[in-house]
Amino acid sequence: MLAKVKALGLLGIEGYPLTVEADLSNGLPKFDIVGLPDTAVKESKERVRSAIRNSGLKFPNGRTTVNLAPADTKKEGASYDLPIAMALLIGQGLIENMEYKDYAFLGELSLDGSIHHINGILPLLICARNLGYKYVIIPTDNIYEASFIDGITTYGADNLSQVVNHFNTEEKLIERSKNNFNDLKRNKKFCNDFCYVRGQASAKRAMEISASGGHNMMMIGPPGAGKTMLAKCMPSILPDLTFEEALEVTKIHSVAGVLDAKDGIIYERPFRSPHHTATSVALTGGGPRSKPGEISLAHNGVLFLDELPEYPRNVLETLRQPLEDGVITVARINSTVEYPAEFMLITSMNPCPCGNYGSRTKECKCTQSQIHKYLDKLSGPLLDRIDLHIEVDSISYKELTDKDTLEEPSSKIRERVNSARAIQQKRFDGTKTKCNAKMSTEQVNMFCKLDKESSDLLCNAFNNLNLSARAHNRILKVARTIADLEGKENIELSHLAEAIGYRTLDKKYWL
Amino acid sequence: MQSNNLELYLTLILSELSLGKQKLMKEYFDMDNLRIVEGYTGDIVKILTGQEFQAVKQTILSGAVNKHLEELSKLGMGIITIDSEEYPEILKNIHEPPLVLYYRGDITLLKTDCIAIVGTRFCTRYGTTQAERFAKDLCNAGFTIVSGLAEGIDTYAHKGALSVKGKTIAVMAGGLKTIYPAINANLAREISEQGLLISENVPKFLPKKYAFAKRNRIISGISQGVFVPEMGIKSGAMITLNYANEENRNIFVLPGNVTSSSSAGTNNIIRNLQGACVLEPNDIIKNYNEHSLINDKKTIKNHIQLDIYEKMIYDLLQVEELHFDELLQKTQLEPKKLTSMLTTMEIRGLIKKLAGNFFTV
Repeated sequence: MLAKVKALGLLGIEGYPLTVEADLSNGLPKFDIVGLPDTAVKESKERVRSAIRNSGLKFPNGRTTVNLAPADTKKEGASYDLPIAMALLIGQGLIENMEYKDYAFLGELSLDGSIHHINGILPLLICARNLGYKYVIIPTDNIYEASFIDGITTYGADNLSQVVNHFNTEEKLIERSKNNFNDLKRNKKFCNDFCYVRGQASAKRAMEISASGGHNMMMIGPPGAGKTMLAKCMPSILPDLTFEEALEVTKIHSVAGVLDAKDGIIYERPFRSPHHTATSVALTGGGPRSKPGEISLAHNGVLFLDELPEYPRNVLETLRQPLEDGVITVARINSTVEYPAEFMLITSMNPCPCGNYGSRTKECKCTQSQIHKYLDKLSGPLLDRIDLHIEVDSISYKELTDKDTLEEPSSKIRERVNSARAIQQKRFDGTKTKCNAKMSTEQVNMFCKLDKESSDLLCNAFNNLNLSARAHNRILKVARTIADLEGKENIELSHLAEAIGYRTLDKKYWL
Repeated sequence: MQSNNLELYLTLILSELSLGKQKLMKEYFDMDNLRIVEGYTGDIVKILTGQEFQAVKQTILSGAVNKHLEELSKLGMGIITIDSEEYPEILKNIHEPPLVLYYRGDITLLKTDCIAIVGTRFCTRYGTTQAERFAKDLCNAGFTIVSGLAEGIDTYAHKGALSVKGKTIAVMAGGLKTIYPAINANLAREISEQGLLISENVPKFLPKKYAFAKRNRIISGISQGVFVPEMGIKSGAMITLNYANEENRNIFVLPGNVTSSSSAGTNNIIRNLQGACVLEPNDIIKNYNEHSLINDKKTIKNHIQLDIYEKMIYDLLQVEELHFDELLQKTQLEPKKLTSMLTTMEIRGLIKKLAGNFFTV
């Protein structure tokens, strides 16, 4: 007898509809799965057989063929265990209730019949909803993650027997309660808070601007100056995610399998800091399954590259295109997938190999050519894409231990950042732009108008400070963010001057 | 007669004879009678070894000198000999003066009043800023700055001179075609346009270790005095100072922080040599020309209007260079306000930003 069950597959971060067909006929016992299954799917026949048996149900004798349609797409992972098992049970006539036709099934089976957590539940459910499916049965482990999707009824199941009972008896599965994103308690305590960072006023200010406008930033300073600590404080002042942004982020993390099931949905902007031994594939994404890389995991959040010149040059160059486009296309033998990658790049580096060039307290022992060689590891085009350059120096013991000065806590900075973001959201309402840093040239012309005095200053700055021409738009964008932070409608002279002040590397005094 | 000498000198140089042998040969031979020496007999045996003689003979027979001269004119380089008019007297009198000097640029600079500024390659910002400052002021007082185109102090001495459109001479250890360090290739080009590049070695000569030490005798040789802003205990500048001492040139050094290893050498000189210590460019200038003393006092240009905070920042920076955080503490301004003010002042040319977020007037 032939049975058909609905399921869902995952391609990149998008789901697609899938039908599991099972054909049971007489003949010598044989069990085949067709439809381009990978090893995990092929092995599912062993799991399904044991799970059905250990749930006290009957596994079909005779010749059995399972087809995963569409047959030309590669199927991966263990999430088809449950639909295959259901198809086999339905094929044997063990499920009498015809309601199963309105259901889609997702879940990995264990040998004892219990249902395990799967990756990528969020995009799958979004796809199911968009396809108009009424009900979906998913593992209980995934239920919290699923609770943020509206417009579809989702049941969580612990084991196969529960699913069978749901159809055959009055013992129904419990429908999951809905969660509202905005009610989520954002009481996550940040272990790194700006109130613990002493001094470094200019760096803190730059980070505030960077967080407000989504600008890329670079910190330069001797070892031990606190660059990494500053960067680690960054998540504590990042603006809140909107629901749409949170969904995008959660989708990617869900697909990559790095989502913590407890959290369900990611409501904090991601902060990724890959080590400098990371390969270009680790950063951009790839592998046989075209998994998202670090830059996609940092989507709508921060990608922090500590000790930038230590990264291999070819790895850094791969960042250039996503920094401009906000997406990365990962083309691999099995699939070509486009992942979003709108991240904020924060980097840190030493000014020279010994690290002490320009330091107040320590002596630099590097020769000019050593410094040149060190800085030459970074390509001009990459540096061009970084808006804020700040120099961080180690602070004195006195400043470090001074109990009188109280540093501003992150929560206060975050309030300012959030209000600046609110202005930007209003400004870019209805466009694809999310923050000032991503403005198109047209938008820069529209929103970054300068008065006479300011344009004179900018003109002078170009003449006197040897700024590169490419810095022009970036300065305007940063100035726009500074004005937003102050809640000003127009860019004023002081905003522009401050923005120019952050283009350290463009000025040639560095060497 | 002069071209004859040039031919002789080039023959000796192209045969790779040592400086001492060159000098001896020059005393006993001119080109005409060198050409007629038939075999390895007579006077020449006393001066040259058999191998050296063969090399000289080979050079003469192959016509290498003419080829060399053609090559030079193609490269746009000039050459002067110790007998040339352009060759400065002051250099002739040192021990082992070079027989020829290859040059590119304005050769008349050799006869101007020169002050050498040399020092460590491993310099601190103190050294580089002072080298630049002294170079600028000495140029403004009419001196030509001589240095060795090396990294560190040398580079900043040249840059300082070029920045005020002053005159500067770079004495290179390698040939004029092999700029060392390569990083200074652009600087060398600028100097050849605005000043003078010289070398005693053939253009394609790759600088060897000994060549740097030897080159230093020319640096001190063409200069009235040698100024060292910063130098460690074991610095190449010490060699220049030794030459300067032997040839009776003035020695000037700048005192440094006693804890700084980059100033250990200069501080040591101050301890051992009276009168070597200088604190400002005038201390050097007054040794030569009382009239060209320069007014070093920095005054606010009157026509520039400063508001109360700008004045405060300006006054603070006049005392010493300050870090952003120190300025913040002293002015009690908000970071954003201070950043924008500093940038505006920098654009107006009132202050300068240094590496490491430091500011100076």
